[in-house]
Amino acid sequence: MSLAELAMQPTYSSNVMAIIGRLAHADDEVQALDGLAAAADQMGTDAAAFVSFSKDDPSHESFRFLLACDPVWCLEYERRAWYTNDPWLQYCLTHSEPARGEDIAPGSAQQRAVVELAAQFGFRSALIVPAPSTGGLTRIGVLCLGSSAPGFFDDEGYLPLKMLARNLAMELHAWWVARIKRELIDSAGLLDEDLALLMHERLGHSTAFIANALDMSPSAVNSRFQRMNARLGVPNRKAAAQLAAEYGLI
Amino acid sequence: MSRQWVGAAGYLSIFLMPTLFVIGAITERPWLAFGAVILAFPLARVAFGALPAAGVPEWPEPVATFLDRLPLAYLPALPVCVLAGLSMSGAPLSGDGMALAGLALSLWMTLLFGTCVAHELIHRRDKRQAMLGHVLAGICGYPALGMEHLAHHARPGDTRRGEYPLKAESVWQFAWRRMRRIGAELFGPGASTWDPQARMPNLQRLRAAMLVTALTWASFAAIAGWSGAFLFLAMMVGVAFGVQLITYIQHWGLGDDSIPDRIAYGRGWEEDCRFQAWVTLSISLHDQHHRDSRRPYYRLELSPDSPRLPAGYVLLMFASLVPWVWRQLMEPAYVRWLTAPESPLSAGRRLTCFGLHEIGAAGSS
Repeated sequence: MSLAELAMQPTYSSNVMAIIGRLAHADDEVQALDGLAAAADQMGTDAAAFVSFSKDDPSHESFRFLLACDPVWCLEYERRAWYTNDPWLQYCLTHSEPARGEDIAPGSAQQRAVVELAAQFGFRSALIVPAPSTGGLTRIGVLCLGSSAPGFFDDEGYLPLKMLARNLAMELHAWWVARIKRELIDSAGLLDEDLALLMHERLGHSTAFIANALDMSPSAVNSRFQRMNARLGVPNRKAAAQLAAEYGLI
Repeated sequence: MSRQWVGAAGYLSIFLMPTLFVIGAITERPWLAFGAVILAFPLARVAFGALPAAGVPEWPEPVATFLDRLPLAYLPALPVCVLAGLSMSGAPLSGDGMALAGLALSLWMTLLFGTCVAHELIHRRDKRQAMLGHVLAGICGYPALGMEHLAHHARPGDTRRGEYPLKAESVWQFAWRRMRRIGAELFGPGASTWDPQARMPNLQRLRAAMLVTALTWASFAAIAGWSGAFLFLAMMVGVAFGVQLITYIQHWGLGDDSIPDRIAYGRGWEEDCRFQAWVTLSISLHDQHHRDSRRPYYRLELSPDSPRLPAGYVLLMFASLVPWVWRQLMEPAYVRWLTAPESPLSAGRRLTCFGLHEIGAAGSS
């Protein structure tokens, strides 16, 4: 069935939106992945992947994947450390509009190889949907929807699909941001009091002001920052507040 | 607080190599920096001992901020010292063969230690500091460092692509294999490096590093003519080889050909010499670095179950050049780690652990 025929069905949009609405309640990656797979299936695509990464951080640690497609693709992609050569990711660094794969021309042979590999694993036709960061966040998301049918995204069904895909991308992005925020809170053992300290620091308050506001002694404030800095792996409270803002903690 | 400052001051030793290089040029002792590395650095273990068992201090904020900025202060210091030293190195560059060899070896070691500082910056979260790390790698003559190193972290244990050495291969085979792959990947025809439309952040950083390498080469040529130009080209080859040599030491026997079920985040050999941790900005705490590459050098500590090198990098660098010697020295330490990873052996204030592993394995470590 073509995309246009699928999109003509009366329940097409409402079914996809219902799945997207449930994503916010996903407790873990398995549930989020189930949501992505179900949404992709409802939209009529053969494969889907969502990548979340920090736009300033090209290292592999910043990359998180949800893969509703052949995992061998991602395995190969990671083995070749292709983050740098991916024209679709590069597109999303500077654009917020969804684009079809054929509209993003690969520039180098390495970029062409990335696209060819994707084509082998269900992305012969692809729709790339950026989920830009907002505020102080540096993390962005990229939703890739794929079909093994050439020109799948070229008919009249493209417009409704694009709107749904944007919703899906933003919801998955929000889910990852919340997830990574929680991971940082857990790994650094941050308590509500720590977040309050970081908020004060972000607002530029002095130690005396913070101590007064939180009913602590100045030395207790300093000591608490010192311990928190060590847990976060940063040198000082300014860097800690910056990190917290980047992760959306404050 | 003052005790913390004293402890932190050890990391100032990153300035030793550039300083020795200049002093060598001023005093017409071009071997000085290289000689210090060969003779004095291994002995520093006797003087400063092993890293404290208590791990790293929490560091008060002023101290941590100072340590955080230390690599940034090093960035201008290295090229100033190197170029000043070069401009004062009249005799070696005018045809004295022995002096030229001394100058080249001293310069090689100085730039190789410079890559340790570049490495620290490359891993920084701050995009400007990460860029400066790439630039520093470019000054050291190895602009590919940032790109190849981040890929190295992304492919833990991968021996097929030469991220980790095969246990059976020599350092020569590994370095050649890895350098060829990196060269083809980053600089070959079809590489994204040459595509002006490819604008991912690390490609931009690589291009900046390449530009700085070209500028450094031009500076060498301007100061010392053709001799300087050839010297820097030799340094580029030497530093690239040196980085592969260190990678070999850090990951030998820990690839997917040897421990496929224990690769995890990418295991690395560690060494607990305090001075070595200072002068390399904790590169010697390599297992922990692979576990959390964002953690800055002054917050790294030894992994409790990491494989431990039987000696410092300097001794093992030379040992690795002769494969038979390398195996004789490393096999006992390797077996020890495989059988008792939870009880690593420390040389304490001894120079090495050579010969202690069999005794240690018997239970008297």
